[in-house]
Amino acid sequence: MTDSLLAGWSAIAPDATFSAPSDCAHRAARFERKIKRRNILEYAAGTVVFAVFAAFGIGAIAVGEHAIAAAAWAIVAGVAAVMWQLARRGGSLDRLPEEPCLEHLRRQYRQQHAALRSVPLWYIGPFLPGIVLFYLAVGAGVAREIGWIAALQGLASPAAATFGIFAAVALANWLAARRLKLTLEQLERLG
Amino acid sequence: MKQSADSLYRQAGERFAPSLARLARAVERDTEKARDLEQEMHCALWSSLHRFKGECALKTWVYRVAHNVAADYVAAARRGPAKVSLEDIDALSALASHDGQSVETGAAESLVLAQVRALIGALPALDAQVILLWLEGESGADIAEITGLSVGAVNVRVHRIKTMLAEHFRIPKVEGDDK
Repeated sequence: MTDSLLAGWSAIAPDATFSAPSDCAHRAARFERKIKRRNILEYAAGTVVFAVFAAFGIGAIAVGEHAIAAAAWAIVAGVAAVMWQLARRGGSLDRLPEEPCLEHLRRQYRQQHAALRSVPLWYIGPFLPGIVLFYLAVGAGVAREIGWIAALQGLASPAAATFGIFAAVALANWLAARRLKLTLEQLERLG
Repeated sequence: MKQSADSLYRQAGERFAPSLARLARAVERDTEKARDLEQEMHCALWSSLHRFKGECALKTWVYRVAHNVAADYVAAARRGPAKVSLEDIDALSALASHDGQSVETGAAESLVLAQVRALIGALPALDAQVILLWLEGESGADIAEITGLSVGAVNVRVHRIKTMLAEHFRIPKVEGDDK
């Protein structure tokens, strides 16, 4: 049992040394490779979704389903918009670790707050026109066969699930952003 | 004459390597991960020193980089119990004693680390930074310069920390403890 936290604390790790600069160069290179791999994966996933919906759109035109094709192309445009935003936002992080800790925390919270608030706009928003168009196109097609009431009854559950997920993601982000704003306001009052 | 970044890095290593090792171990329990965090601090410092123009003391620069890297690490990990402020510090006694008991007996270093982890794990980032800098023996003015808090705000926190430590960790009052 220690009788002095202060004395005990300063006795820890007396022989520690700094990493060699060459280790830091290796670490930086490793980090860059990791980011590169992550970017490649993100773009690959985006490209697959892009290609699937583009092919779907071409197929829909071929069979005369122009409304479905428009929905597929709107989703393709949404994927492109999200990929562009990912690239833009991923490269805009400032890294100044030498600033005072309070300012560093404020910056961290401001960035997180801005990201959370804007997620519905740039991550969900671009997909909405395509999804809405898709439901309208499918609904119109089904309605031609069995009438609008039966078509709407059939689409209600999947549409509610789709838009419910979007709403839940937007709400979770909004709540997290609100919590961060309170923390940020407390930090703004300090110093 | 302006010193090279490599020379500053060497000087910083000679003076602050143990402090940064302690900081890393305080925020990360896993030995391997703590070592990795320590190296992350070194490397952030190494690359930042190219921007060092002498506007502040080397010590201030080193501590800012290390604590900001640690804060980013904690924020990214997003683990541990919910934070309480120093105003609600009484809740820490149970937490500290529980953590102390879980540590293997006979390892004074582990016990100290466990106590410090229990403290800083339950506090907001800035309060934790003040505690860790105070443990390193930094003055209120130096802590204020490193953190960006006012000297008054730092002194209030240090006073609360000392009261809390005296109550819950049975730390004897030390002469000239107001540094």
